[in-house]
Amino acid sequence: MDRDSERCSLCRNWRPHIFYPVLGYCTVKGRLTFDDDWCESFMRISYDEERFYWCLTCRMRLTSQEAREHASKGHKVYLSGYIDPDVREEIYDAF
Amino acid sequence: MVDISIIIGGPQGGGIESAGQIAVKTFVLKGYDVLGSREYHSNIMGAHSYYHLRVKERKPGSLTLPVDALLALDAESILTHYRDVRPGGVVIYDPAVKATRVDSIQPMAPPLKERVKQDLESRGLPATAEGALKAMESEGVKLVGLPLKAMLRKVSEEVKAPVTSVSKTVNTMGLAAALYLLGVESKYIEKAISLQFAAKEKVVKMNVAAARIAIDYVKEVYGEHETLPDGPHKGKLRMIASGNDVVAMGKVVAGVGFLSYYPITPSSDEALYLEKHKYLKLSEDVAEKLGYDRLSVVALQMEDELASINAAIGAALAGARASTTTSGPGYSLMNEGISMAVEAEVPVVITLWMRAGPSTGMPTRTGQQDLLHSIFSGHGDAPKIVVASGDHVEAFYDAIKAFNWAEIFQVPVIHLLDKYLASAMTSLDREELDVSQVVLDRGKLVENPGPDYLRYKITEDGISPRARIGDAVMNVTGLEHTEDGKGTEDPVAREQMMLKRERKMKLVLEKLPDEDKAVFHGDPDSEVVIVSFGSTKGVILDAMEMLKSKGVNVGFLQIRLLSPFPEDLVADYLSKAKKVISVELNLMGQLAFLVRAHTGIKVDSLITKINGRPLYDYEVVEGVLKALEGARRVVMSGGA
Repeated sequence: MDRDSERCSLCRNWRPHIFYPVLGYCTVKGRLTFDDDWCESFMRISYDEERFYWCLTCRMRLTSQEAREHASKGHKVYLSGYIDPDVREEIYDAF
Repeated sequence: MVDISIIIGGPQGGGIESAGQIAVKTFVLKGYDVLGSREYHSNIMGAHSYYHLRVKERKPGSLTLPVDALLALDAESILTHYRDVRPGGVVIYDPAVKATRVDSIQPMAPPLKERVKQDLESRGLPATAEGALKAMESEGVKLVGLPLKAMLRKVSEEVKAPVTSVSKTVNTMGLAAALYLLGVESKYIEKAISLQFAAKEKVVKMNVAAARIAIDYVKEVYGEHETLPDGPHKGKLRMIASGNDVVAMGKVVAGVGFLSYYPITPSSDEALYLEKHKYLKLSEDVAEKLGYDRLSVVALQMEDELASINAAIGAALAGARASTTTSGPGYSLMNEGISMAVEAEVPVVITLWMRAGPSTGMPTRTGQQDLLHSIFSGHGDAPKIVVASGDHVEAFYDAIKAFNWAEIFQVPVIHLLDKYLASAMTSLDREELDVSQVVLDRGKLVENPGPDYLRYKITEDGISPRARIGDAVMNVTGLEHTEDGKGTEDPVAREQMMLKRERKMKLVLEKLPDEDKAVFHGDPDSEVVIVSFGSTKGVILDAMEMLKSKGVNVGFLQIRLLSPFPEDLVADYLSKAKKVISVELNLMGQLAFLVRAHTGIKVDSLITKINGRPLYDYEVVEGVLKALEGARRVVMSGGA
């Protein structure tokens, strides 16, 4: 396998930044990495587990069945997304 | 003459607000006047939001389109605003998003997607960010691609910080590039970054590094740019504040002791400002007047709006200068309390920030749809004062006057504002908010009421001596009452009290100076007169100049006091006009309705905007020209 086929954006441990998905959070390293970074902890994402997923394309949470459907349409589906903890400074109340 | 407009667009929560504020600070440091406003979606996070600002040598009264620069931090911003940039303008974008299809952008509203697709396809372009960029390029807009990922890597290496930290500099890089292309030197951008993140040294360092890398990249790829000359206010210590801020400041200056609220857009930031500044030492003269030397504002979040109005009424009865703040839906819930405050003659100030209704409507968008709602709120004949502010400076002083009027006339005062003004940031000189000009008047507040005290004593002017609860034995009730406040259904007492409350409204019209009732701008002999209220003031004033350059002379009557309605003054101004045009952000023509009801003068044309976006100067110009051609109603629809 080359590094391109095992880049962060294809990894199970990677959570894309919901606004700027060239970045994402690596749950193994505990920090943000770039989408084309690579490391030895790579695990290819699959949608076989019965759990919730998150579609970056649609910005919505999915069941495993929905995850498979979205992925088959070419959507970028992950286990979760990454939200910057300082995001509260940039958003407003809107009730 | 410098007149620069910019849109900074991106996902809500993606640094748009910080970028907008840094841009405002940068231009103020450079010596210019700035008006900036945020447009955001009510879904809290992720949907498209943008900061729209305008920079001039003297204070801009309005925002405008098209803009000179679009900073698009994502594909949605390119696809949403590609028609908003003027030929010769510039768009700054990340080339990595070029392939994004409009269909794939989930948060984008389906009708907008459809409009964009149709437009791009009609030009023979793909419905992608790249298609939109090509559309701009074909109209003479300069495309400036910033490879944000590569630049983030560079920032990370340069400041030796992990990607996690530098990830927050994406907005700064784009903004610095945009400002440089507009001719702003990096020293001003860096100073503005320092001010924005003052307490966070590392964040300043990273953002400054990011700005430098972006500027160096632009210089290298697109060449050096001509420098914008410094503005006329360079070196002057100035203030930047939103409408929410100045109203809160006005309340502090007025000596507000109690503010209750239930969070609602767009009023919450006013309450949060007061919570942040709740301990203040008063100057000696103010302390003498108020009877205490330290101001401690109780800013209290209640469980709902009913509790908010009732808590404010309670605080006012106890002698505090009391207020509550809300917007249309919350005001609906306050109706019963407002009626009670009228009946019990409680001096309470209600700040009403209008937004786009009905119902929840579009919570984060602007509108002027609550004019009649504010005037006719409260069941029964419920006379009250309603005053509308036209800009930040008026909003500051009106917030103070509202407390004076509430206490002098012992009525609820509705301070009418809107979402546009709430979130509009502007540059201000200290002298514009001159506290030394402020007079506090607590009306007939009595310190020693004595044993024969009558809270609702019938007087010639309708105003009774007002004691604090606890200083005298008194009854306060929503029932009709006698002079001592005890409930009654006696027909004579009822009539006396109704007429007493009505007399106070007549007194308001007698006592208030004309400038608090209605202000005429321009030539009083103009044959064409625009009538309007609230935040459309600056837009209309800007439009009047544009119309003048086209040879169209228009006067503008800004009605400030909406209740009681200054009918004689308004009739006096409007009766001379051959054509009266109402400009207001509601479809009913609520002001036009009031004008006709009170003066008999029929407004000839209505220029309105109901899409929740700010009214732009060119829209008033277009509207007036159409009205002069005979259009009865012109609906404007600019803005994304």
